[in-house]
Amino acid sequence: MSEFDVIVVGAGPAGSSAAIKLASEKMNVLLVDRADPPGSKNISGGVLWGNDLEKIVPNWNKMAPVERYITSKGVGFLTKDSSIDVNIKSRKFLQGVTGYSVLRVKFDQFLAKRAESAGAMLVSGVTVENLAFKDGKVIGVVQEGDTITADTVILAEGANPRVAIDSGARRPIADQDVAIGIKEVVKLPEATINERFGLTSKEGFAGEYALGFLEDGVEAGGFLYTNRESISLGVVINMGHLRADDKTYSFDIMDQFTDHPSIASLIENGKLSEYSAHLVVEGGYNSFPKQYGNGYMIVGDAAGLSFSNGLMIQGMNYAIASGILAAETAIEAKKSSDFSEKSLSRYKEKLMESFVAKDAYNFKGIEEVTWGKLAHKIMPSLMEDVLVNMFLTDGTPKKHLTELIRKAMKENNVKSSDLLMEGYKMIRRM
Amino acid sequence: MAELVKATPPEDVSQWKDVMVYCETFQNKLTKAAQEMIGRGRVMADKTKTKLIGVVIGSDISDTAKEAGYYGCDRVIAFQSSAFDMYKSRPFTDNLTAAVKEAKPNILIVPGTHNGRDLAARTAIRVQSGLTADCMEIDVEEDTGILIARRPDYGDSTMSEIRCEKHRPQMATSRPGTFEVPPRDDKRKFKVDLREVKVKKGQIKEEILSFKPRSGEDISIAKVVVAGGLGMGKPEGLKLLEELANELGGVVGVSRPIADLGWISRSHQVGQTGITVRPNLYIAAGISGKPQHMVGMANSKLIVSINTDPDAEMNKNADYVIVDDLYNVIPALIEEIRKRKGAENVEVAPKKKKKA
Amino acid sequence: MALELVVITKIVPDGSEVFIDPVNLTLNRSLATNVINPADENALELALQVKARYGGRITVLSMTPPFAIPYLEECVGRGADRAILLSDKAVAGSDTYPTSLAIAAAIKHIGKVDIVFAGEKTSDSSTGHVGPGVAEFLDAELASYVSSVEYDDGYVIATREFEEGTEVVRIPTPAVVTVLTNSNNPRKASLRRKIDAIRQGVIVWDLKEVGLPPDAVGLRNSPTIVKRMIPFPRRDRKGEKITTDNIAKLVDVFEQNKLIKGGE
Ligand SMILES: Cc1cc2nc3c(=O)[nH]c(=O)nc-3n(C[C@H](O)[C@H](O)[C@H](O)COP(=O)(O)OP(=O)(O)OC[C@H]3O[C@@H](n4cnc5c(N)ncnc54)[C@H](O)[C@@H]3O)c2cc1C
Ligand SMILES: Cc1cc2nc3c(=O)[nH]c(=O)nc-3n(C[C@H](O)[C@H](O)[C@H](O)COP(=O)(O)OP(=O)(O)OC[C@H]3O[C@@H](n4cnc5c(N)ncnc54)[C@H](O)[C@@H]3O)c2cc1C
Ligand SMILES: Nc1ncnc2c1ncn2[C@@H]1O[C@H](COP(=O)(O)O)[C@@H](O)[C@H]1O
Repeated sequence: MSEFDVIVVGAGPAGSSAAIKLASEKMNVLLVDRADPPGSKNISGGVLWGNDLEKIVPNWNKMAPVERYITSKGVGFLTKDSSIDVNIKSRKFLQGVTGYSVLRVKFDQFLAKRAESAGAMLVSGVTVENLAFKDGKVIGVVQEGDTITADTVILAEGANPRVAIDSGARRPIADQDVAIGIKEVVKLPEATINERFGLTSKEGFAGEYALGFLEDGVEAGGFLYTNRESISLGVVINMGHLRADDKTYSFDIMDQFTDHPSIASLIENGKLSEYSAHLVVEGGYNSFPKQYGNGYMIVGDAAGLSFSNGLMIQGMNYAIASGILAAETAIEAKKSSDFSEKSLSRYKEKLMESFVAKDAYNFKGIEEVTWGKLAHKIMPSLMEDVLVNMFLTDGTPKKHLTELIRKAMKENNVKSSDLLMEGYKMIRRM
Repeated sequence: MAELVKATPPEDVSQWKDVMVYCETFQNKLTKAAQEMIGRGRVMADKTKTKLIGVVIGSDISDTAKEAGYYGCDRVIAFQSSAFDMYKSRPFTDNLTAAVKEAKPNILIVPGTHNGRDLAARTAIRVQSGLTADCMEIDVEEDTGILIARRPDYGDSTMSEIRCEKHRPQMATSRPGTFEVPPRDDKRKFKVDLREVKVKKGQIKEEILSFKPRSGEDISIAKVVVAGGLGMGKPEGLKLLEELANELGGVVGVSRPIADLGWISRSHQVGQTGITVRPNLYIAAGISGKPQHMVGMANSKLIVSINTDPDAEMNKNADYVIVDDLYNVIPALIEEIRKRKGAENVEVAPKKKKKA
Repeated sequence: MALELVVITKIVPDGSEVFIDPVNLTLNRSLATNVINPADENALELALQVKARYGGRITVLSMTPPFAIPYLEECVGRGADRAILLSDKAVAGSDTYPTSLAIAAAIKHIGKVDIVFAGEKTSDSSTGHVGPGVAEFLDAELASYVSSVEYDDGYVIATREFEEGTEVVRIPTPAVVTVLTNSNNPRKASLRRKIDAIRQGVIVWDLKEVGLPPDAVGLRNSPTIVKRMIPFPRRDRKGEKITTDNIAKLVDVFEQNKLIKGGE
């Protein structure tokens, strides 16, 4: 007999959600996190779309430490001197869609504690070292020479899944599948945030930025979210690029982002209270590894289920959803006392039926576009030239719009055929 | 030993009048920490128009007791026994407690050294009174005789004022380096009360098996401290500071993160969890000036801050401020000092830039 | 006879604000709320080493509100045999006198104890009074600011550090030792031991259990009171601006203050 029905490795959103679901169905669960308190080293920009969380923690938004409800979204294209922003403040955001900014350290502790109060055993401050195998089946985990047994192991280690990779449960991560995310939390008075973003205290803003002004070749996106009394902001930089050019430092890019006039003015006089760096999964559908096997399942970032493409990052919602699906699968497996690969392949089916895989499929390849020159460089500088020329009053008569565009294209060395190609790619991918 | 009972205050606090100072010795010499505390005690005794009583414990202390007088005590109670050649926790507590019970001081201050804190903590329990540790400021209210003890708070940029209004003596310790050493005056008048303590065989249970004096430079007594913080950006910064320290005959100090990073040993760390210094010159290069650092050096005579950030807290607490990269400033400083010294053809480290 | 060892441990607000990102050399303010007092981790580690060499049983004792339970489980996970939480509303606001008193009462309630390990100081109040205070109340010998200890047939041989140097002192048991921060590398709990610790649970005692009346402790029975908070004092310093180009001006000041050695 195994000591536990399920061992969950990692108490991020994926692992804790799995443990909550399992424990509330009376499964005997062990949830292990290497950080103490659990999640205290986890970061992310922090907008959580919580429809799935609602299924396992009803009214979560009333209990969890959430910061602000996102009522206003923005996309900004930053060029050296300017920023072209598209901001949407829509009543539609208020209907049904549940996006909240959260601070992960607090939020992850909340979820892990929920799992504990649902009946899971929570062990923090311990790093699981490996999976234990017997006759080709995973029978538990190994730590400091001891084996702790379970019928099923759910790996929820996040974007750098050492156990999953070292044990051979999933294939290694390729550079193009990950980016590096850097995040700062800047403290500001609540009233100042409200004023700068035109919000009331409960409302929040979430913005994504294309950083077209960076030196050629650097592919990075920025993000900025409002918390109650702080702003989370950061950049996500393509790893392949960082590797190729050892003169690019991630913190330099972060500095360039926070120094950009339109960002600097939003965080002016704020006090830096947190600074961290983390891997971000950006692979998408094409780089899904195999997510289950004999006696184990992989969920969340560890399973490549996150999504970041230079213009947006989402992962917590996929992590939660996949955690719940893996838990359901483990519960079904327990009912049939079958923990084989075949039995656990139900998890894959569930994933494919869910929005997790559907989103990944729908956005398949979009990263080529969103990471690409068009979104980050060409469009922004064209728009800048056109708009600045349009609004700049220098005494000369205003030119016709198409003339302006043609001029800007010429100055930016853009051929119309390129523009068409890129635009076509983008539309097709979306 | 103390019974397992709560602290009961004396009925009539007005009987507790004078100021008492424990005059710590090492190898029968007053420590610098003791001299500082005598100076502080003197100020408080004068303010309340009471006497300053010194307590000296050691193995050969007739001269030491006089030193305590020269530095400011009006009366010195000296406990002497060959067994007191080194600090021993229980017998020293016994003797200090005896002195307290006899002299009934209003205030008792003890140097905040390791041995002093050991002694003060035990004595406070014995005499059932309150003790405030690591005070940055110790003062007395002239009219009420209430001790005002101020110590830095945990984490925040504030200090707590702690009082012990009902119990006597009101006790406090301060770190070495917090107060100035008073002038020594061998014309001062005072009384020495030297007592030979009979120690029965087997009565003292503590036995010192060996002692090894500390080696290495002692930052706490350095005249010049050249200190670096995270602003150095890389371990090589320490070399540059060392070069400057050498020119000034000083010692290198660091903020806690630098010691945490392991770039240099903890014995160089200045601050709340490090060492308190009071040099004639403190150069803070790339140190922001958080309170936990400031408590360790705020009493330096002259403070120079080198910081790229014009608004750094350290700048507001400095006599001279240079807003520039320390990698520009320090080589220039070294060069200028060498020039003054008249040394010729000395090579100065080239100006470097931080972060590649 | 097996040694009876007690480690007294406080759970404190996290002071590891000084967590440094080694790549970018920036401070990372950790957001964890509480930790085992750093020096107490060293005290526990030292006790574990003593137990490994001489045998015995380790009890971890803490006087903290119940939020401390997971941290005490962590201590058992590292190898302590059991954990006792002394938790009682009446102790709220205690200064170091009643704290030492209550802890000593709890240790007496454990029974005959050979060595009590404390930290040199807590990171929140950082007085270093409680270890010596407990020694007083227990009428035990004390070795403070200790980096290592050995045990030899009824005696503790401790290496102590103080300003002038390092000494080795021998004291009979029962003894209290207060252990220096960073004097060893505390081990981590293993998964196996931590699972066992959680299953085993923490023993919770109140004042009644240890035989102490509530009016012996707490804020009202503390000799010291925090009167008020005042801003950190700032000496009046003029903060005269100097530039690198006119650094000579600063060196003039050094010269005036006779700070330059070996001048002409
Ligand atoms: C800068 C940045 C911004 C982001 N912004 C957003 C956003 O706005 N919205 C959004 O939805 N997503 C965002 N994401 C993505 C999101 O953070 C992740 O997709 C999500 O956290 C994945 O959850 P997870 O549970 O799979 O992994 P994680 O949250 O990484 O959790 C993994 C857990 O496993 C533990 N662990 C790892 N290895 C072991 C081991 N061997 N033993 C024990 N424990 C272990 C870790 O301590 C950790 O607690 C962002 C990511 C980054 C880096
Ligand atoms: C309980 C507790 C106890 C503590 N005890 C101590 C203690 O004993 N001692 C201690 O020091 N700290 C202590 N701290 C830590 C303290 O709070 C601060 O975090 C620490 O002092 C900051 O170190 P710093 O000034 O080197 O670094 P930072 O605060 O990061 O400051 C670096 C400074 O360097 C400047 N700078 C950057 N580049 C350059 C350059 N090229 N040239 C010139 N300037 C530059 C920056 O503008 C900045 O002002 C303690 C903290 C706690 C919570
Ligand atoms: N509430 C407490 N519970 C258990 N041990 C304590 C407590 N307070 C202090 N100690 C112990 O006494 C040591 C010194 O604490 P302090 O006197 O507060 O600096 C600590 O390192 C602990 O070992």
